[in-house]
Amino acid sequence: MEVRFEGLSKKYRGKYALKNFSATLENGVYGLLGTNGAGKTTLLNLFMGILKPDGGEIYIDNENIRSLGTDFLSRIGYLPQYPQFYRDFTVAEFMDYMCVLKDIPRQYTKPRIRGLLHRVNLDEAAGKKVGALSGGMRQRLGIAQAMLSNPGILILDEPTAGLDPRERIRFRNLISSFAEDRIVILATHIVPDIEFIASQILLLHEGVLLKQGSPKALTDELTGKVWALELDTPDVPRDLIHHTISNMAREGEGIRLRILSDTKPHPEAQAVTANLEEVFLYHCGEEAM
Amino acid sequence: MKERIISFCRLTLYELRKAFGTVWMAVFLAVLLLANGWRLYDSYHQEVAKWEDYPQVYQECYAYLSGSITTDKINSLMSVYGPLQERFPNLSREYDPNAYTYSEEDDYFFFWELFYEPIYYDYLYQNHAVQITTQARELAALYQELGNSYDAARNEILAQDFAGRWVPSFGDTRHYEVLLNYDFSSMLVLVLCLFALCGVFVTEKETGMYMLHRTTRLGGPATVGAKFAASAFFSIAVSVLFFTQDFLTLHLLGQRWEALSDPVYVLWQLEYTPLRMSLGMAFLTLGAVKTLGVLCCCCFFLLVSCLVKRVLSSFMVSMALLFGAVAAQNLGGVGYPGKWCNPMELVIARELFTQDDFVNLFGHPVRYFLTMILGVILTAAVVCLVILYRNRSTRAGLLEGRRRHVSV
Repeated sequence: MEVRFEGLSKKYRGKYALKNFSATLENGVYGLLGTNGAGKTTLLNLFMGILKPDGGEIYIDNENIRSLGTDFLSRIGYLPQYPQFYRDFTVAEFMDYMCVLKDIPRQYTKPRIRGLLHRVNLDEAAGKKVGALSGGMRQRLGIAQAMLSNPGILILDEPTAGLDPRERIRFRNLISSFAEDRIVILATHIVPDIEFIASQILLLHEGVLLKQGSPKALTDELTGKVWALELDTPDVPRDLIHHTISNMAREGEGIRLRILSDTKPHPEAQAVTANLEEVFLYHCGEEAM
Repeated sequence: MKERIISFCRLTLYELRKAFGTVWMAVFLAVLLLANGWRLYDSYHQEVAKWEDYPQVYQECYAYLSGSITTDKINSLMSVYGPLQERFPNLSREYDPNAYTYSEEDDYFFFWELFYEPIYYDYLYQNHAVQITTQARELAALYQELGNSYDAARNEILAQDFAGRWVPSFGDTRHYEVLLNYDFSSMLVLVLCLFALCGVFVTEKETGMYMLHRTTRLGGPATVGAKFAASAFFSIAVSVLFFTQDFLTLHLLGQRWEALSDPVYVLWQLEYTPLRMSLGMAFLTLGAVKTLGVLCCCCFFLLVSCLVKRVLSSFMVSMALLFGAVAAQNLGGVGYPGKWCNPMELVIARELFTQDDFVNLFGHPVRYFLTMILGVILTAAVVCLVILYRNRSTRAGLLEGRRRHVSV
């Protein structure tokens, strides 16, 4: 499957929320990375038809989504940001309701619900009320409902927001397991969410696509721009405060710094391999901090 | 097609489950049913309490005087009531062991209120109807001569309405009078519907589910349709439940059914009613019109739920609207702006049927109650269209996009 965005734009009150966005996505996990207000949700909403674009086109396998009609909707699975669902529904009821909404023939609903609940490890919670689920369980229910129609495109908007580290790792693994033979678009501003599972990163800033590439390619681009420095003083020296410090850790009386700089910021600084957070920070500036 | 209908029915069932199938709703419904039962009992006893101490006397007199109104029965009644009437107001208030009730004065009021006045009304109704018919025909002819076709047609309809009207028998109608004037259940139904419907659309926003709806095949117009169907089903079911409770409770309290087959104008409040049907049918009609009024009120609740962002705001705004509609209906009298848009006019249905009024519609006399029903239905239809438009217009991209090409 291939999704192609061509010059997609959206304005709110005269200001671009997304400007001339073009990208081609093939099977794999795509991390849509950007600060709050970078245009991630706008892009997803344009893709799903919730918003009307001010310009641009979207194609799926070279077919414009306008010509696909509601058939397009059966090709996507969507997990919105902070879903509450219906607190009074049981997990099984909610899944069945989503099957009705997705117009899945009745003969397929029960085995599909059972299978998905098993995959997301919620089979024992099938009779539980949605309101009684933990945040992580609710997110797993969210991804299970998104997978009901076995979509070719899975869209996840800030799926790990509010989850504890264990649930976050569990959820990441789940996304990886669902990523086979489909496009997964994962919008987030939390870098570790996509660092290890995304095959491609789309870096958005102020509505503009700044970078697209694999995590390795993006981090390689910063070779010679990330520096590690260990100092015996407890404070950051005055001459370094103008640099972007991506990490600062205290060690005894001294400090350990990671600095983003096009030039060597300190005589004792050592060039190190960049991580994705630093790529994000480098391109999005202080706003990303 | 069959699969589509099944999907829609399943969606509707889920909408019913979502909005109305909660424990709170069941508890609230049970509490309101109990409150209504208590209020019915209280209303009935307020009406009949004065003579509750003399059930035996009433039973004996009623057994003889009920049914067809004959000269013998009238003579028998007058043989007891006539002497009391002649001596009124100089009747004794002291206990009298020979009295039917407590004293002579109580006897007078007992017979006057329970037998003389209703039988007198029933007996003379035919004469009254003949007078109205004759006068209406004369006026119709006069207006015809004067070239006033509207008033001529109006009087012609009046003459047809009252022609041949008579009350063939006497029956106890006190519980029916209570039923006719009983509005408490309508208010409870409206409160219940307000409570249930204020969240129908707004809950989707609060839970974030509207985003999921928009990305599913049946999450758009089909879900809106299912919401309408579920809300209509709920409001009709609740109305039928409460109005049936009114009817059955008052029958159980009154223990008499015979007046149900009498003509509707056997109730003095409906002396000039345009309805020509039995009392039983009239109560069914009133129930149907009330239910229609409740349904129209529900359309407004749904509209508010569609426009605001919080359930609490929806509840408050809907409540304010409801109070406004009740106040306008109560204080507005015959004419106030927007009367034809106020569903409370249908909820308090008896007032539509007490007078044989007409409205001049393009030179034709149309019955007042019909114009009211039509006006409120049209208003509700407009409200429904706004809700549909509102829900359709928010699906801005995909659906509208198909109709309108967006170029780069």
